[in-house]
Parts: sequence; structure tokens; C-alpha cells
Amino acid sequence: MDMVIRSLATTLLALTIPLASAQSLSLTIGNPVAAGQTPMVKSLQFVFRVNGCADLSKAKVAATAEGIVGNARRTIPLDPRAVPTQSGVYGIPDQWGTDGTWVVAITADCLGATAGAIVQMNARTFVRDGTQFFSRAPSPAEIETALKAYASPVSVPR
Amino acid sequence: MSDPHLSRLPVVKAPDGIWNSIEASLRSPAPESPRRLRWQPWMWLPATVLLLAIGFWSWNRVHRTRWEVVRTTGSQPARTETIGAGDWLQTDAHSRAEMQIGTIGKVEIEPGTRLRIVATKQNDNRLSLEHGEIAATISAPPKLFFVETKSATAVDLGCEYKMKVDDAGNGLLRVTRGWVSFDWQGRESLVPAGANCRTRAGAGPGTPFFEDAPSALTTALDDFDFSGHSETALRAILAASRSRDTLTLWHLLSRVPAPLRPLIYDRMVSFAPPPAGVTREKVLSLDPLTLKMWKDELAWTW
Repeated sequence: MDMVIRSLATTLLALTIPLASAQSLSLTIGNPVAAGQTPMVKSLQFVFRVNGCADLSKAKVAATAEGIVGNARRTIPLDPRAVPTQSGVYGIPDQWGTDGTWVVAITADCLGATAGAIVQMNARTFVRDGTQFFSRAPSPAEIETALKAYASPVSVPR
Repeated sequence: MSDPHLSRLPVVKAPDGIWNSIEASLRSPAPESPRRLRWQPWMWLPATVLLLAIGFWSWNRVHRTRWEVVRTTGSQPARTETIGAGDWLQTDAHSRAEMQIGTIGKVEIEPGTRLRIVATKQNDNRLSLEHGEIAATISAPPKLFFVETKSATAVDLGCEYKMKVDDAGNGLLRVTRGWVSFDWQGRESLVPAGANCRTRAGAGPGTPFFEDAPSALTTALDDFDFSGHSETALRAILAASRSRDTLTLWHLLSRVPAPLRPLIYDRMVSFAPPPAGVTREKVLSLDPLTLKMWKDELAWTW
């Protein structure tokens, strides 16, 4: 009986550990200087870190710049750059220009878990207080809401 | 014997004396021939050193270049010249200049500035700013571009910054991108984008602070850095500090006497708990690895 209980407990533990680590997947957004003293820092708008991924080689990240320029809605696929000096850290270079209102939507996947963020941008860098975090990929509706709120006259001054 | 003249010559037997002398010479030992210089393995070392020295000298000569300077004065047409190590560059109240630092970046020189070119080498691009203001934009691996002043040296760590100093060496560094290390006599201030750092003659670089830091913090910091490191000033800094000002507090940890360190540590952890591996004990003993680990984590909030 003891043997059975022990086997069940071991199986349960084996199932729980990856689940627990997967559930803790999250993102941290930072100023490019958080990537350390590397020349690539200069070309970045911000950096993000994937936390809670047990095997970073399996992590997949994706990002899009979502903007309104004039009256036109724009979506630009971005290419997050892995920071060579820090594993699990990626940089977002400026690939959308200075005109208009922009947010960056990020999704990270690792071993079946997902984390996301919508990052508000100003002319030079990201707006820390205007960043939203999710335990899943941000939905198109959430991106639209964030973008419209940011573009409206009552939003954070640019 | 195709030659008709030779065929007409009589054949004469050689005298015996010739044969005797040939035999005698064959019997006697051969005279010592001079020893030929043989290539020995140890000879590779001086040869390699010599080749390397020649290579380094040639390389250094080629790479000790001159920099292009474009001067502008009011509405007059721009004037281009080149400048090399040892040369001075000065702008008056109405002129400015832009200098290309080889292929790694440029320096804009504001009116009323005087500076000297110290080195234009591949691995050491160095200016000495006598007085005035410059704006540097550098795209190179860290520690290739340096600006010396009388009270501190700005070491580029991949950055954009502005620096202003007076004749005495008092000045201000403002970093807009990347990192700059502001050094003087073993004292180092690490200044990230968005932060400033003052410097004073005789005291060296002060403690860096973010440009948007509360004025109560920057005023108290000025007192602390350049008027005797008082505990009153430190307490005013701590009281005025925000989460982002852990940049300032992190630097202060190693600049206060040991009994005051716990005050700073407690204020820092009130903003966010330290990461795993960063313990109170190690921080208070200024363990270099622990301090670096904490700074790297804090940088995510800067």
C-alpha cells in the first residue's frame, strides 16, 4: 500500500512541478540599460526578460508594433533580438518610426505556458506605467483598447 | 674532338709529379670547411618576436589616424579640416564643430569649448576637455573612447552623452543612451541613460542620479558628495528617494562608512526585495559579486 501511495505521490509531484513552473512564466520590461554594457543597447527601445522558463532554449518570443499614424491603423511584425550577454533577455529595436501613437504587443511561450504584455511607447522609449502584463497572449481587442486609450487626448501626455 | 685544331695537337703523358701530388692530397685530411648555419628550433622565438614587432609597428602607424572636423561659424559656409593626436581644437562664442571619431562615432563641440586630441588609435580614442561642452555619439564596443577632464574621465560603454566642464574641472555628465563610466582615481560612477553625474575639482565624480529625481534628493546629494559626506545629507537622500533612485542608493552603499550602510540597504529593500543570492550580510560587507548581481537586477527598474 505504501508503495502505491509513494508511486502516486511521485507521479503527482512529477506532474505538478512543470505545471507550477509553467504557470509562473512572466515578462519583465526594462530600459535598454538593463541588458548590460553592450553596444546593441543603443539601438533598442526597450528590453524584456522571460521569467520562469525552465528551458530557455525552448522559449519562443514574438512581438508586433501596433500603431495609429494619421488615421491609418498599422501593424508591423517585429524581430526581438536576443541579448548575447544575458539568456532569456530580448531587445526591441525601433522599427516603426516616430510618427503616430504606438504600443508593442509581446507574446512569450515556453514549454506550453504563455505570457504577454502590451507596452506603451513614447517618442524615445517605453512608458513603464503604461505597460500591461498578461498570463496569456494579449488579445486583439486588448491591443485595440490600449492603443485607442493611448491615442485619445486624455491619455498619458507624450 | 670536333674541333679541328684540337685534333691536331699531340697527346703528351702527364709528368709523374702531378699524379704524386694528387695522390698525396687525397691521402691528407680535407681542410676544415666553415660550419654552415643550421636552422635551430629555438630560432623561431626571436624570429616570431621580430615579425610581431614589425607587424605591430606597421599596424599602429596605419591606424594612428587623423579625424575630420567640420567647423561652422554663424551663417558662413562650413570648413573641413583634419586633426590628429596632440592638436587642440577650440570654438569661440559663435562657432561650433563636429568631429568624426574614426569610424566609431562623432563628437559635437559646442561654442566656447577647448579640447585636445590625446590619442587616435584603433583601441584608444581619447580627448581631453579643457572647458566647454561636447555631445558624444559612439557606436563601438565598450572602452574605446575616453574623454578626460581635470576631475574625471568619461569611459564610453556604448553610449550617447553630453558633458560640460569649466576651467577648474567642475562639470556635469548627462547620458542619453547606453552607459558611461565616470572614473577618477579608482572611484567609479556608472551612469545609465536618463541619469546625470556631477564632477568637482579635487573630489572627482559624484553619485549618479536620474534626471527626474526629486530636487530634495539632488540637493542633498550635492551636499553629500561635495560637502563632507554628512549623515544628515544621507538621511535627506533616503527620505526623498523613489524606487528608481536605487541607482543613487546602490552607489552610496560603498561610499558611506560601514555603520551607515544598513540605513541604505533597508531603504533599498523597502522598494523591492533583493534577488536570490543577494543577502544583507554580503551587501553590507560590500561583496563585489553580490553588489554587481543586485545592480544588474535593479537596472530593470531604472
